[in-house]
Amino acid sequence: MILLVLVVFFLVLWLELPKLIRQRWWWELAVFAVIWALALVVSVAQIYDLPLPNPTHGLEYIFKPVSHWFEEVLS
Amino acid sequence: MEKGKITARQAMLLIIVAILGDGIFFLPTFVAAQAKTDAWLSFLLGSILGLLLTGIIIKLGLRFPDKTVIQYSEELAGTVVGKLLGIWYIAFFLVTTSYLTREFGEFLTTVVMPETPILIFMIFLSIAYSYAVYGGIEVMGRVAEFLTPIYIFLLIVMMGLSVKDMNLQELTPVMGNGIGPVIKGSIPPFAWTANVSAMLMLIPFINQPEQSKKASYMAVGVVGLLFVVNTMQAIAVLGAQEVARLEFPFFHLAATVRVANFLERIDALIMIVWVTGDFIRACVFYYVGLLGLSQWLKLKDYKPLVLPMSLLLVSLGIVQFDSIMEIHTWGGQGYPFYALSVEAGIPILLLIIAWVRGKSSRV
Repeated sequence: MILLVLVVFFLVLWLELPKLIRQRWWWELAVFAVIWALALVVSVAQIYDLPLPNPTHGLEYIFKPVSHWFEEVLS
Repeated sequence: MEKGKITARQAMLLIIVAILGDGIFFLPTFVAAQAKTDAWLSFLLGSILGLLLTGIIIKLGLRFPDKTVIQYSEELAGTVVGKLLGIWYIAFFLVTTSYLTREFGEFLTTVVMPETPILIFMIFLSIAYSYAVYGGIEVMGRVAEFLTPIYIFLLIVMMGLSVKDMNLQELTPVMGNGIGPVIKGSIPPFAWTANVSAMLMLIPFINQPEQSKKASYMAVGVVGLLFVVNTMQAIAVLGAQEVARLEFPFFHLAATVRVANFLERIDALIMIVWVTGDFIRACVFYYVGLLGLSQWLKLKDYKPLVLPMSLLLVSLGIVQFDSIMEIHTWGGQGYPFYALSVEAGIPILLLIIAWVRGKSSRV
């Protein structure tokens, strides 16, 4: 599984990196690298069952109270 | 950046499916849980609210017909607030793409291929939408022009075939519990029709921006009509309790169709509707999110980000939920408010600022 994931990630690198370097788009390359690395971290952490922050829980923390308040007002 | 142009008609077709995509499958469940037999009234109310919001979105969009919301939010609200509003808008579209990728897999593993790992479906969907988004807005416009008519035709055929199984008694009592549950239930449909806020990013790419007004109203109108009829049918055929319990009522509605012992099990057609709908919806959301992000970061092109971002969205799609039940709880309770904070909150705020400061790029 980990091998497969790495193959996919390096395939993406191989597809996009040469174009970015040839055109000297360094800022684009930096953004690309950050997103790529983030995706790699999330995928690998998942394979090894490492704890990850869950963005949906953060959103739930903000919006659940709104939803509950709304329910109470209209009940 | 993006140099392509689409017609207002193509934008309308994209928006129609971007709202219906998963809405027609998931929403009746959320709404029937709140409003019971009055779920169709909730859809009606939600769609009317959606039409009102469309007016606001178009007013704002046509003030800056050559710019996207990411570009003019800074001009209107100042650099810091403008950037914050921009990332709030972008994050919503990207996060929703990730949810869609997950939902796509959940549906197929739940109803068709329970033994295939969900990741497979998610990867295939992400390859498909990455390819379309890589092609640019013109490609997506043409895809919509080709697929949306087929999509709507199939929906209407399926609705037509289950007319004879309808039992209108199931729809009574109308407003038995007062108007409260109807209003509560109208929040998810409102949040879905509010997806028309994707127009804030699409207007500069429409060859005749003025026509986007009519196109947006048409899109929300068509969607509202289909939503109301579909929900009425689902309740009249299956009963409100059953609709609130099932994960995908529209699928079961189609599975019950039986005409003269030879036309049955048309639920296979539902697969076409689901795959097309979710694909186009994901394309629109991914495109809007990605183009927004690259304008927000002032990149020269969004294309280098297509592949790494889709890897991130697939892996996040797996992380974010443990089960389909969690998707349903979040989708029915918190998510609509999150969606509305972006889709209604941002355009209303920006329009007020634009009015107060008298700003517009029109001369």
